[in-house]
Amino acid sequence: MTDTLSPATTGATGRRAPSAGNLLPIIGVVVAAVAVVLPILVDDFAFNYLMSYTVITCILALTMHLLMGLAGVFSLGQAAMFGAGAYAAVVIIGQTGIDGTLGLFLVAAVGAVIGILMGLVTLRTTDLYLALTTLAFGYIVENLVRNSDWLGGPQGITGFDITFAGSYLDEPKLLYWVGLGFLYLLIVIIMSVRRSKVGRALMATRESPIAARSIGIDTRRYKLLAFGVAGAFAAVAGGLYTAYALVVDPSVFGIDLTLSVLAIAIVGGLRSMPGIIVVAIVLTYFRNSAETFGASQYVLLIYGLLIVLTLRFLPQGLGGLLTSPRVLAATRSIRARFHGGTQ
Amino acid sequence: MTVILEARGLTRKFGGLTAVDNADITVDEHALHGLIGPNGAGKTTFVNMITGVDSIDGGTVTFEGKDVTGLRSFHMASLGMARSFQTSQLFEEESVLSNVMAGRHRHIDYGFPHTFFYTPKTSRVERANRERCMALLEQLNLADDAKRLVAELPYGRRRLVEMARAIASEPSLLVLDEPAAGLPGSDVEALGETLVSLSKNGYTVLIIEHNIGLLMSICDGLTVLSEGRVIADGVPSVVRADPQVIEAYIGRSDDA
Amino acid sequence: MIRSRKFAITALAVLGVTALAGCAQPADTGDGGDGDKATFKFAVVAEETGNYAGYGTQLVAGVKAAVKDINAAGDYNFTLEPVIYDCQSDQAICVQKTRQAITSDELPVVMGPIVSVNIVPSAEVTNRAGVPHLVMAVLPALTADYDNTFRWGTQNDRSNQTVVDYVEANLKPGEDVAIVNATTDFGKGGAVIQTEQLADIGVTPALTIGHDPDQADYTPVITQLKELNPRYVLLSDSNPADVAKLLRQAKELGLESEWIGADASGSIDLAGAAAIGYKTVSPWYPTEEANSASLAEKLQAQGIEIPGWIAAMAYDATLGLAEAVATGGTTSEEIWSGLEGLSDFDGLARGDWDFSKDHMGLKSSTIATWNGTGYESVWPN
Ligand SMILES: Nc1ncnc2c1ncn2[C@@H]1O[C@H](COP(=O)(O)OP(=O)(O)OP(=O)(O)O)[C@@H](O)[C@H]1O
Ligand SMILES: [Mg+2]
Repeated sequence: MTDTLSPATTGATGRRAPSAGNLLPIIGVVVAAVAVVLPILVDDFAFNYLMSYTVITCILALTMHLLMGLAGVFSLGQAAMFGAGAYAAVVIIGQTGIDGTLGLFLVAAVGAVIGILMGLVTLRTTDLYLALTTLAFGYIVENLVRNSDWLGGPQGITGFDITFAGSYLDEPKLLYWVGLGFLYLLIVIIMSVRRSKVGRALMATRESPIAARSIGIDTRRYKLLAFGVAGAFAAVAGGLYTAYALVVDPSVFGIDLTLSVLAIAIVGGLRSMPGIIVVAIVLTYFRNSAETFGASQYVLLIYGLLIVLTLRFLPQGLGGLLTSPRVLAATRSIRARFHGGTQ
Repeated sequence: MTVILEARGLTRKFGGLTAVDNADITVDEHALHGLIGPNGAGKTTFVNMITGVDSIDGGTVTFEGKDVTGLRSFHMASLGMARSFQTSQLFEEESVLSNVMAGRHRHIDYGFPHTFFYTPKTSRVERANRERCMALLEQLNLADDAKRLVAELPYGRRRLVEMARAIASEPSLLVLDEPAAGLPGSDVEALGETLVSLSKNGYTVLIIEHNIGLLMSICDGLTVLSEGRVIADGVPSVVRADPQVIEAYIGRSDDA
Repeated sequence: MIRSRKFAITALAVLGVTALAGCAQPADTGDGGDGDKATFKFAVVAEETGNYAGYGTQLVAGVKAAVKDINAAGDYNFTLEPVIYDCQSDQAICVQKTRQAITSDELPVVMGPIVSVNIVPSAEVTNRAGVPHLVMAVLPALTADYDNTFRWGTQNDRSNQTVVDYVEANLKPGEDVAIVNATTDFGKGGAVIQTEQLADIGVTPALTIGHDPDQADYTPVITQLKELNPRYVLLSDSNPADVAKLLRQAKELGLESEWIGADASGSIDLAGAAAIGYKTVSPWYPTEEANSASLAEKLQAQGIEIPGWIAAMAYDATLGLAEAVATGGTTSEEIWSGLEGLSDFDGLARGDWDFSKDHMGLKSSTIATWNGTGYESVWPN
């Protein structure tokens, strides 16, 4: 995927595509490979579960990246998609007994439908109204579930087994690897989309819908596409969560989850996949071990503070630093000095 | 000569105000057609209706022989009608190249799975399109700015980028809403040359402009709009002599 | 556009986070043991911070108070050491902490958390691992669905039964009973159980009124009740503010019926003088009686202002656990059988713990009347 086009670059004027970014793909591949063997290196039952949970969080956070960062749709409906996926997984895989290899894709389909519905309902709204409408979606689905006896009502469902390729996903390593597989699939899709026609269409839809339409981009279609893909993966994250939590109850629709993922996405940078992944890992670990840092009663305050500080000082999030002109200039000068010194 | 665009009896009302009143326009293929009129005459509203940006209260639009009345803007664009806007509508936080590449949307013909998985085909088509866009930027003297963010460009260059994006879609009709507004004299001249060369290359252009001198010298046909109505239509030399046109413009300068 | 979106993000995020950041309270770790004796460590997973911190801190206080007393008494050949995990009222963390406790930290027994969305997955974890689990939540499924759970408390159908027993003993011929319930899961469930249990003693509620939560005015409910003038109003409502409003408006409108409700913590404070005479059902009360008063004092010494039944149950559970370890042993299986060996076990909160037949600990709850300054036990008498 190298950029074969090499236009004559003139002096270092203005903000340009980051040259320091050339290292990123290599780092990315190495990190991805290490992530695969990690549970073998760190063989601890509970820690492996924590890793699975982190992967689930990463998937969910990246669906926000897709919707908010790429499509510019300020949706807070993640909980509806995630929760629907959780219940779908329990019904499809846990109760009906369809194996996860097929079942998780059915779960994804359910999520995609919920996502597209959410998209259809909110097509004409933007910003705050869209956020509130998508948020309301979570409440609606939660209410439906609470009042459905066959879904366990307010108590939820327990005592099911999520399987994948015939094995129970209550083995944390397996759960982690399955989650990682879906995470990598999502990463590949997002990276491909960003470099292709669809990514430009999403960009255009986000930056100026009027202009997008004037060059033949059906903005509604691309918004729905983003909702569909985000819904599918958020639902898979929800499905995997049931294998992690061993139960499913209406709390999967809670706003806490949406807000903590929103915090991750904002701090990491809505537009930056690496930023979001790094922050998802760090914050999930931090939250889980907050006790050891003596910070558990401040966790949510810290989240809030991080959001406010990020919006104030790093509107592009941590990921924005990767492409910030100042940081690029600094790395260039360091590199120049380094080369100068060795020659 | 074949007619590429024909609008008949177009009407648009905003509350009590009839912004465009029963207006007609006919644009020939490969022509450079000007649309002029005093401020608030309804020019933008008129082309907004033609290009599907605004809804239509009455009348019909025929494009390349097909009735396209009331089609949405993206649909018009995919049929080959591209446009620029009076107040620029750019993808500000993106590079010039990426703005122009977006313009090629309707020509990039791969679908799933090539959109979701970057395949050799994706790579091939993307490269070919990028090269076309670079060539276009070269022609418009924008190549040096290809990787710069649009938000950072000076005003004149931004106008040019917006035009480039529309041209990149290889439209059969290019609609430009005041592309010369706010440009310094030398740039206006260059713009005129660009328009002429576009028309020589087979493009059809419908251009709204206040710079009558520019239009008189380059246009094949002119339509004059005043208070929502078409008051003159024809070749520049005839339109220039039309007493109604003179009055509309003199009336306006009296006000000013 | 960009600016308004940014504003929306900030506004929502800040709103949400501050809303959630409520009721957080500090937590510290358990104290270490005595020098020469062996130390027995057990896991306490509690919602010490977050939305349910009110419950989690009660649990931890009860455990700490009991551990302090047991270690000071020195009756056992081991010292107790609770390993406390704050699961921040978050389901995912509660599950994770339970796993960590029984696998990485190899603890043989778990106590808590309290709230059902947290305790159920936690019990699912211990159940799959065959680890005994001491629970307090009122939900019947917790002991019905899992064989490794030991209920240190009263499950809600037994609390309702206690209310019905009380009614049966006191209702005179010609007197009526009315049921008032919130139209929530808790309220509707309670009303259904009470109606069934009343049917068993041959009483049909003369009136059943459901009300939506968070209403400003409950006058229509009270007016309906006044027309009937029942002897008892059985209340199933877990929202303290609503309970307080009902009590206050009942007093204002001169309704003379006696209210018997579930313990909706905080409602008595909110109702003020109108709460005088209000009867509640709960496994334990801080009353004037000797045992109860001394337990309340111990719990207050652990830093909780108003000791509730959760803290008291946690105190007894810790006593029971120590006994089970002494009689059974320190492995999960030994503790399990040690707990099942507890019958007629005397705690400080309750003197009638029995796990030998089932894992439900208590047969009944208790009823007390609020007299304006404290609780007076009225049932069992
Ligand atoms: N969305 C709208 N709502 C209400 N009135 C409008 C709207 N758009 C345009 N108008 C009115 O319609 C009339 C025509 O406006 P239009 O923008 O089409 O004129 P124009 O010829 O393009 O003017 P200019 O040369 O200043 O660009 C004006 O009086 C304007 O105020
Ligand atoms: Mg105009």
